[in-house]
Amino acid sequence: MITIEHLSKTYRKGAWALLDVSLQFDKGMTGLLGPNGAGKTTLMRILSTLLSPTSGQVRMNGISLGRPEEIRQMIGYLPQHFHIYPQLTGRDYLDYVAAMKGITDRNARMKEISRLLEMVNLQEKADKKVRTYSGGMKQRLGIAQALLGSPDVLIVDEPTSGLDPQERVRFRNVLTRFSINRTVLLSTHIVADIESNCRRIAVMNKGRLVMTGSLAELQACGQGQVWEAVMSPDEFALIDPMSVVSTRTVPEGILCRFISPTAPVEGAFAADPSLEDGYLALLRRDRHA
Amino acid sequence: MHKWWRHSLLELRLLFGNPLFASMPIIYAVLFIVMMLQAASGNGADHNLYTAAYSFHMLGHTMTLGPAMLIGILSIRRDISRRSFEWNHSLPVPFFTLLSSKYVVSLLYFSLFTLSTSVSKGIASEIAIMHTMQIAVQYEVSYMVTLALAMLLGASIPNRIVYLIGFCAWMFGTFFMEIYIISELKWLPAQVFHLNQFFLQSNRYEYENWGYGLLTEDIQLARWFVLAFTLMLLTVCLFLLNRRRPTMLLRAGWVVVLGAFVLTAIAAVPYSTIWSERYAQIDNRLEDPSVSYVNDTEIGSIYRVSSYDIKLKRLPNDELLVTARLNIPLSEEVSGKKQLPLTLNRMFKLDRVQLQGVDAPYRRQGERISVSMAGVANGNDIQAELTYRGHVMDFMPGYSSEEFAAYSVGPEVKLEGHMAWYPLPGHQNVYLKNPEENNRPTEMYLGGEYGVMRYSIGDMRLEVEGYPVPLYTGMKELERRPGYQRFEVQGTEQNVSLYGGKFWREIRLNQFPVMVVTTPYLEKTSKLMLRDLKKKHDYFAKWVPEFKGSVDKILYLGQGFRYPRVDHSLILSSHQYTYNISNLSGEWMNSILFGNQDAIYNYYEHPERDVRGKISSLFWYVYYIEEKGLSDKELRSAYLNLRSVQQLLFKNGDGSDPQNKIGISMAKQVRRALEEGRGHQVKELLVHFYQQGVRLPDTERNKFLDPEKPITYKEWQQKWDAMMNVK
Repeated sequence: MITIEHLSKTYRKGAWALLDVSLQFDKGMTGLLGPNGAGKTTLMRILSTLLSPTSGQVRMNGISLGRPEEIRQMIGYLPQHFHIYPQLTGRDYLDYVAAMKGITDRNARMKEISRLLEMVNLQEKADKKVRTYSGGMKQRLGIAQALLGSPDVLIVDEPTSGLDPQERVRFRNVLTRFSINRTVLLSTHIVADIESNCRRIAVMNKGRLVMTGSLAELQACGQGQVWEAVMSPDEFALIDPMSVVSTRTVPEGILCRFISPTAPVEGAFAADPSLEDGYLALLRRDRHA
Repeated sequence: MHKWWRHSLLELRLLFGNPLFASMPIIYAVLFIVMMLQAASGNGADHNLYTAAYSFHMLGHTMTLGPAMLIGILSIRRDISRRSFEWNHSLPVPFFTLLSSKYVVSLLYFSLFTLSTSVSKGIASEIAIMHTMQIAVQYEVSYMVTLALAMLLGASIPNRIVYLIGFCAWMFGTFFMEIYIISELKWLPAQVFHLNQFFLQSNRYEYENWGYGLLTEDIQLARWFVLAFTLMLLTVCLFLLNRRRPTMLLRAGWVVVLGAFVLTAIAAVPYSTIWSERYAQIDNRLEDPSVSYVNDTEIGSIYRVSSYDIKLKRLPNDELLVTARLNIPLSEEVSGKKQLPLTLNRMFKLDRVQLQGVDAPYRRQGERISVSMAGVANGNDIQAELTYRGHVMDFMPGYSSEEFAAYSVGPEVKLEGHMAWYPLPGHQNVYLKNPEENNRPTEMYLGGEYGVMRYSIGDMRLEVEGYPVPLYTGMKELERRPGYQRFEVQGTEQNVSLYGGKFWREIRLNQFPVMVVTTPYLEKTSKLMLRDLKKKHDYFAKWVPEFKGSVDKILYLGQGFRYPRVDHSLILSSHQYTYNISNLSGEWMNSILFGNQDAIYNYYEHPERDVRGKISSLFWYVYYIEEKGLSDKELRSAYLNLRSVQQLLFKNGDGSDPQNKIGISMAKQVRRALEEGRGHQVKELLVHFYQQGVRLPDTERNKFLDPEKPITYKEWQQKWDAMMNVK
């Protein structure tokens, strides 16, 4: 369990990257959603003991972040931008990380590495140099290194960017399996990543926590805010593009979906919100607040 | 430890996985081996494997410090400093593990370069190992500090500009430091910050004798300071790395950094003390009113000392205890005087002065001692006895390095007469200082180098005790046993020098009276030169009945003597500044033939009044024609490598004979006679003048020298006509 209390972080230039964030993550997977610059990565880096908070408290399984050396023993971390020594093979790299995580027994290490390579579908490329890997393969190797040693807490920062749909599905499944009886924190700005896996969700914007709750609660944020209207191309050209969240061509013209507290155009009709609509409505509401 | 070991394996793999880095030590070793083989196969007079190795390290080691700087920076930037590698910051591995592992592996990698330091071909293993170890340790120390500096740069400068800054640090810490800070500004203590201790200009490692053996304490203290400084750089580096992520060790880091600073400061104290003592020594002389200005040297009158009896004892701590007995005949310079003036180097503390066996009061200012002659009975020779002691290590800042005018440190001994290590008559200028208008003087010079020292003519007896090696001097060695030597010379200029060095070798040839004393790395070339000398010696011995020079030893060193010179029966020679190195045996033979020719250039002005210099040159002219078959043209074109042909063949004469007509005509006479088969008469004529005396000592410097009479050109012509036309 991770408990965050009044966590704030400011950088030298004075802007608040995190402002008074209080949160609690239980076992299972929690999605951390937010637009670019919302403070997700800052929060992730603080939780991964890479950054010190300016103020506030964090406890992981009862251990304060003030004892980072102990925290590092229990976490696995995959950063947003991930590079590996290109001279190493995937297996050698994982072997190195396993040793760094304190797995001294060679047999146990090799067994664990083989299991993880299979899990991330890299067993065939395991003995090739990392420099020959595609971006997706490197990302999978990254998740494998984070999972090494079966950490109690797994922190993954926007892991699916750069993955093709098939890899993304596999990746989600890996995380889902791993999150049983463990705490997994998944940061993303892709709603679909969260929709299928996460039990709970936290939405951040501009360094603040905007909402925390279940997927249904996030979806409910879009209730009464979602509209659809069929428009001709000429009419479409005149509307505010910022209010449109999606468009689809239909025989009658262009079917536009809007997030708006009132009907955005004449003839618009209310629609059921999706999770993404709820998220966008929440951000819009936050922006206008 | 397991993590440290595994990370070290990774670092090794990353280093040797890079083809450039992997190949560099091999390229370096190949270059070193090729150069050393080339040097070892040389037969020239300047062949010296040690010097060749030094020349390689001088530049080669500096070149390897560039990669050390690069690898140091790279090892930090490669993963620790890159945001995309921050996954490894979340691993439960302290930065201490990463940093120490990177440092040790990088150092191990550069130790491969250190392997290319052996200088052993043809040298006794104990000597080769000693030098190799010294050079290797110095290599390692340089790599240690360079890597630490580079890693600190890598940790403190996040931008890629760190590579440029590293390059500048490399250049600053090597070439710029030596050329500007050490040489131009003369901040000699800054040598310790030079990344490559094999300087372009230095006496420290460049020569096998009187080099680092002389500076053992200095070098040890400098190394301790450098190691403490390295530790400080590493602790600061670790501290900066620890600041990159939360840690409980930050406070402890402050303490460690503070501790490292304190340790560095403590290590700097003994090193700086050495230098402050050296500069205090210089300041003491500069401020001493008894030390004359270089342009205002008053050469006072000196009196004759008929004999010296000196007992020199070296204690294990290098302190010298000396008792010198002087017998001073009564002369107008001393009789009736209240004070007996003497000169003794200030490095020695006087314990007692006695005149006629009774303690005598004295005053001393610097080198100048004035002994009260009150109560000394007139009419007898004065018997003076001085007992004194002191450590001899006389620092003189040179152009770009520390130089020592005199020393006695273990087996390393250079005690020259002009340094007044025994009492010289009169008040003399052992040191001189430069005049600086409106400012205090800043430079010290040696009176001996400015020709202002004066010596008496008489007998000398010297006993030396306590040295681990034999010492060499121009006096005749009467007795030698371990730790003891006895020397004696009669009726000679009392300018006596003592030399000694570790591992010096005595090289002799069968049935040849002259031996060469040299260093191990010059042994091979010395043997060749000695053989060459023997050929010349044999040639002249055929027609010169008895050589005037009394030389029986040649001290041939890599460094130490600017120009070859004769010190009684000893020739002092080194190839440090010798231009005609290939004909060094000719220089030696010339000294054996003619003895001291210090003043040969003083006799140019009026050749019609004195042709002694030209006659001595004719000996060599005959040699080159008979033995080498050289024409005048060939002699002129090779004059740099030949002995004494300038005075005969070149049209640039001095004084009253600017066209050198006399010299050229004498040479023509001789060549014609040789071509006519009258070589025997020519040699007879030359021997006639030789026996009459053609030595050219510097009588200006020593009024007690009894110079041989000049030989006028007219005398030469008359004798020539008499011998050549009659016979």
